[in-house]
Order: sequence, then C-alpha cells, then structure tokens
Amino acid sequence: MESILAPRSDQNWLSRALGSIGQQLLVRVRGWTRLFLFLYLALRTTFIGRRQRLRSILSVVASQIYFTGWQALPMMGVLALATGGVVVMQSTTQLSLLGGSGSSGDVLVAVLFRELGPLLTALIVIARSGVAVATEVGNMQVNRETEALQVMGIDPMSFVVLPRLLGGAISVVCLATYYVFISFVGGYLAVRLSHPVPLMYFVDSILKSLTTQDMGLFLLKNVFSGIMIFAVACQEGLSVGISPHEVPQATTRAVVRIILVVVGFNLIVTALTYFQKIQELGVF
Amino acid sequence: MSNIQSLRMTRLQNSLASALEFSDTLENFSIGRGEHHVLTGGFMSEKSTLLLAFLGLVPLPTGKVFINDLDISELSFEELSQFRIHCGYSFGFGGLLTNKSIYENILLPVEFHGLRPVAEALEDVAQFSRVLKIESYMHLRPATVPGYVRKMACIARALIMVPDVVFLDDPFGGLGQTHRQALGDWLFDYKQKRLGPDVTWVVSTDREDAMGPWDWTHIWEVAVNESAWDEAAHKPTLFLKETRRAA
Repeated sequence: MESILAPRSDQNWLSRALGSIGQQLLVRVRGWTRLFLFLYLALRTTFIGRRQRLRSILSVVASQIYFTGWQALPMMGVLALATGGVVVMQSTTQLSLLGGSGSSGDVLVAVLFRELGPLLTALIVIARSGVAVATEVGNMQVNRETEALQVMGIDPMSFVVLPRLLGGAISVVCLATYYVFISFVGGYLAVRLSHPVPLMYFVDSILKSLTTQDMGLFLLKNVFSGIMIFAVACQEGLSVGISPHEVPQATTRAVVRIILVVVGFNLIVTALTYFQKIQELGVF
Repeated sequence: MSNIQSLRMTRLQNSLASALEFSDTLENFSIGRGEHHVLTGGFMSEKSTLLLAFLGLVPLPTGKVFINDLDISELSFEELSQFRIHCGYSFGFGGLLTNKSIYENILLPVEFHGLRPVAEALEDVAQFSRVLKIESYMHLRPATVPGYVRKMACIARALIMVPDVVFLDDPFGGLGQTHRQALGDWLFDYKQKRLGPDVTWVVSTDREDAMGPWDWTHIWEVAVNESAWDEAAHKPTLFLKETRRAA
C-alpha cells in the first residue's frame, strides 16, 4: 500500500499547480464578471426606470459631488502644492545636471498630468469617499434601508448606486483637474525660488508639451477610477447581511479591491502608452 | 396600473429559514381584496418573513407567491415594482433612511414615484403628525428621535401612497400603552375614513388586543411546534394555523 508520506509524482504536482492557477483565475474572472454585471444593472435602471423621478436621483448625485469633490478640495490643494513643488525641484536639478533643463515642461506633464494626477486623486478619493460609501451602504443594509427602498418600488441600484457612480466619476475628474492646476502652481512657485522664470514661459512650456493623447488618457484614467471606486464600494456595501460586524469587513475588502483595480489599470494604461512611444521612436 | 386583487402563497412546506411547516389547510394561503388578516405569534416565529415573502423580499426554496395570479418569481424588478408601489409596508424595526429627516422619509415614495399630488400627500403628513403627536420631530433624522416616532413614521410612510394592500409588521411592538392606544385608534380611523373597504390589511402582531375594533376576516397563529424538531435548523419546526375566521 502506498504511504501517505511518499513523495507525489511530478505529474500530480504539476496538475495540482495548474488546477490551483486555474481556480484562482476562475475566481478572478467571476469577480470581474460580477462587477461588470453590477455596473450594467446600475446603468440599466437609468433607461428602464422611467417612472422613477430624476429629481430624487439628482439630489443624491449633488450630495455625492459635495462630499467627494468639494470637501476634498483643501486636502487636494495642499497635496498638489507639495507634490508639484517637489517634482519641479527634483526634475530641474536632475535635468540641469544632464543638460536637459529645456524639457522640464515635458517632465511636468508626464509626471503630474499623466501619472500622479489621476493616481493620487484616486488614492485620496478611495481613502475619503470609497471607505465612506462602503460603510454607508453596508449600514443601509444592516438598517434594512435597501429592503425598505425595494418594498417602496424604488430600485436601490438607481437610488443608491447610480448616483454615487455618477457623482463619484464627476468628482474624480474635477478633483484631478484641480490637482494638476494647483500642482503646476506649486511647481512654478518652486521654480521661482531658484530662478527668475517668467510665468508665461513656464505656462508655454507646459502647454507645448500637452498633447490630445495626454488629455484623452487623463480623462480615461479618471473616469475609470471614479466609476470603479464607487462601483466596488457599493458592491461590497450591498454584500453586507444583517449584522453590523460585517460592515468593517466589507469596507476593508472594498478598499483592497479598489486599490488593486485602480493601480492596476493605471499601470496597464501607462505601460501601453510607453511601449507605443518607444515603438514610435524605433527602439523595437 | 393594475390594482392588486389577490395575494396567494402555495406549497410552502419547510420553505422558510426556520423550516416553517404549514398545515394542510395552508397549501393555499390566499388573501383577497378588502380582507383583513392578522398573523399572531411569539418572538422569532417568522411572522415578518411571511410578510416579506409576499413582496418577494425573501427567496422561497419551495412554493410560490402569486400577486393577481402572476408568479412573482418570474417577474423582473421593474415588473414587481409596479405591484410594490401599490403596497404599503411597515417594518417592525429599522427601514427608515438614516440620512433623511422623518418628514422626507414619509414623503419619499410620493416624491419618487410622482403618482400622487404632493400637496394632497402633505395634508396627510400634517394630519399624521398632528394626530400621532410627532410634529416636533418631523425635521429630525431617525437616529435622533424616540423609538415610537420611528415606528409611527414607518407606518405613515406605508400609508402615504394610499395603497391597495397594507402590510404592518409588528406595529405595536415597543410602544407604551398610550402610544399603542393612539396608534390603534388612528389606524382604525384612517382605514374607515381614508382608505375604505377595498384595501387589504395584513398585520403581524402579538398585541391583537390593540386592534380590538377591527373586523378581522382571518386570524392566523404562527407558533412553535414543540413536538417536531428540525435537525438541520437545530430548532423546533413552526406551523401556521388559522385560529378564527369571520362568518
């Protein structure tokens, strides 16, 4: 009889490893399918729920923009001034050493506009609003508020989820734009400390570096982040049962998932863009 | 939109969370238009689950629920909503939106669906708050008001749409003698003068006495069947039996 301690054959080990990878892959695919189904259901109610009053939904959108966008402005302002200043100081120092001080506009656009703007805005919104929405929706489940909406014939997808998706996406785009503007101001102030650079020269160097593709990518990254942050937060919030102890668990799950989704998407978009640029330069 | 003429549950043996076991007479649990049913029973006897099942909020592993002879499990959310907006449901606890005031909570279905003139609904809200003596709490949020105000607000919200069917889950639970009496009298008065005889009432309560003047057509008892033990659920099975029926 074969001992249970006997080493297993390579074939068994390989098939187990493949099985485990396949299982993990299936879990991921199911997770993404559920998320996109959730998004579809939220958007579908907009077109189907004609009886449902737009005014009630718009007031929730407005509150979401107020909490996510407006209330985050002071924090974003400080962060933008600081990062803008740091990036300019570091880049001008390094570029001067390399003799490339003329391309500081390109660096600012690449770092602040294309990368840091969308990513830092998303992280701030996750920390402030993603957590808040997951907790709020989770508590709504516990207090039977979503059940109450359903018995009144109000779809929680249109009354709770959709306004948060819309408000969230609008807020993230606006906040990222605000971040970029303030970080350029911070950058200019940092430059002025060491060199008497005219404002128009600074603005001109940035505008020359900005392309339509940059703007498209900026919009794509921010709209995606805005929708995903609130879709995942609502999905995890709605997964709470009737016990309050599930709310912090759902919130933690939401934050981890959102960070993975947003950072992963930013990384993929950036990588694709740079591969394309490198190809255009004829390196490959 | 079609009004609700009938509600019916069929073949619900061992279907609910705690293995609710219906007697033979309840193979068809039917509720007709204008009937008044009361479900009595102790704590955790699944009275609320039965009410929620009628509105499709509790999935049923076996058996079916019909509204106007339509199987609700085959209806989409939007199709079922067309029936739900003609029902008023009051929760035993919870159910009010915590980020809205008591006033906004009561008016929410009217403002959202726009099926009733808001001015007319406002008159009803003023009457609710005056008679039930909750006027001073109307602009406060649910977390900051006493429990009886929340309970009454939930009931007022269930009635604000002038529904075809009213489901009241434990409307007198947690209320003192004074509030219980005031609510019972007001509900009776509202039923007689405002809603009329065609409205169906399904109420779960362990305070049958508080609804003394009501002409109940059916009284059911949801109770623990001590002689039968459900091994899977680790609790006694429950049964629903009709204790009285009006002639």
